[in-house]
Amino acid sequence: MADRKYEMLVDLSRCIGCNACVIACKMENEVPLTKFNTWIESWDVEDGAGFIRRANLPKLCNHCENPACVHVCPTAASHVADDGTVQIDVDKCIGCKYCMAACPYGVRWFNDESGDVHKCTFCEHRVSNGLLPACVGNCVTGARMFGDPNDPDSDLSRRLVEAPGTEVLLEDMGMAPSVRYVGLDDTMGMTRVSAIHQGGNVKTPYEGRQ
Amino acid sequence: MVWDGIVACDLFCAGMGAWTFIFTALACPRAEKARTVRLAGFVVAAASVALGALILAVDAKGGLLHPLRYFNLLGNFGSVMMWGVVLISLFLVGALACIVSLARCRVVPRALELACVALGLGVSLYTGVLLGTSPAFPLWNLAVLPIAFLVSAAYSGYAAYGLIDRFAGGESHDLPAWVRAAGIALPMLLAIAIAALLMVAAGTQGSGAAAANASVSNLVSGSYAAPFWGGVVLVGIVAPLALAAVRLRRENAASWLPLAEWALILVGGFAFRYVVVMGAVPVFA
Repeated sequence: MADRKYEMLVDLSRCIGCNACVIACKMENEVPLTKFNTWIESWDVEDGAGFIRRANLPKLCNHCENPACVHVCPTAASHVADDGTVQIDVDKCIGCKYCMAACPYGVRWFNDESGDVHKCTFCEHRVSNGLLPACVGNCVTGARMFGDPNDPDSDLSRRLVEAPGTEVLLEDMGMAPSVRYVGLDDTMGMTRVSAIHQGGNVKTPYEGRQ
Repeated sequence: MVWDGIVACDLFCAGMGAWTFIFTALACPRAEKARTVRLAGFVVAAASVALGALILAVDAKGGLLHPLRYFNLLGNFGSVMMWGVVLISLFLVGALACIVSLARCRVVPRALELACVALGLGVSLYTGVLLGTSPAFPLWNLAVLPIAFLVSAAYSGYAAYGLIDRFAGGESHDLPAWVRAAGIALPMLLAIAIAALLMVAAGTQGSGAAAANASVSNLVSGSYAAPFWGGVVLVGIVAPLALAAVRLRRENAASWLPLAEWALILVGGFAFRYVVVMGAVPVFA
């Protein structure tokens, strides 16, 4: 188990932005209102062929191999677990938010009640019992895949063979994320023609309106 | 917004307090007649750094609600915040020892004072490195921000020491020439450091470029332009620099001139940290 490394692969061509993964995660992990372990950012794009399309980009903790959050945490509450995932030992967290300031993916959230920081755990409690993370198991289109890339029989490995050209978010920041995407560069390369929405709310306004 | 004005208070108190100690230790005569000023300088320095640490501890709600978690603060030797805890703790212990010695009418060992000066330097550098090791905020550039915060902390410490010297020592106390020269040199250095910070941030390449440019725009022409131009530049640099220049030129300058200069510097010092913390846009915005 110690050398095992989990990864998630998100095929953006399959994601329809239904938010089933988001709801499943919130129910499974009892994530409070206004907080999210995973979410989908949706916006309209001009695809270059004269069509307007909907882009959907699921986001979550990237469980980086070189995690800034772990490096800065003064109490070692944020740590890399034996399986390579990034976890938070909440009993050590003082809520200084240094990890939140360090993470360039903005995936951590502060619990206003308990005063500590939380994030996606790759559903460690499920995975350790042989189950898929809730978001993966509830994805209606199979856009999210999860597994051990070193296991050639895993769903994830087989998909990686089919689509070897995967990309990661913010690759130049050197975090070596464990969440990979199919079609990320194509999606981000298309001209955005709307605001970016997250759960029905505007996350980034659209300022290119004519 | 991850961190807010509370953290700006912490950064300001820590930097200002550290440099108040440095100026007191290096500028205040060790003679008996200056004992009150030295004692007041050390007390203000220690109280300011302690207040900064207390603010940080209270802001860390998880620790506040579960105080035993603070015992984990030495859990990661690679964390800048852990080194900050060590530096601040050692500084406070050293400053307290200086205060107790002075209060008991004893001479403070010079080695102890110099050790506290070194720790104070570390504390003021730490405030900038703390932010600089947060890659999500490209404005907090590790190469420039610690220097800018160091200079700003020195300027605030200069002002605090001036006020302490005035109120605890009376007008008969003359500040050493190098302290008065600091009133001219430090604002110039600070202006250069701030300009360098903005230019380096604006030149950020890659994934952080958009956030860095948005942060610079925030400060220069956006929602934090008023506190930046009014608080940091005008109140914190231009006005005190002008007052210091007038004071140095005129032998019989009005007694309120230095008081105004020092008060403005402290306002500007806080404003600088406030706009740097609040105006920074994260990569994930």
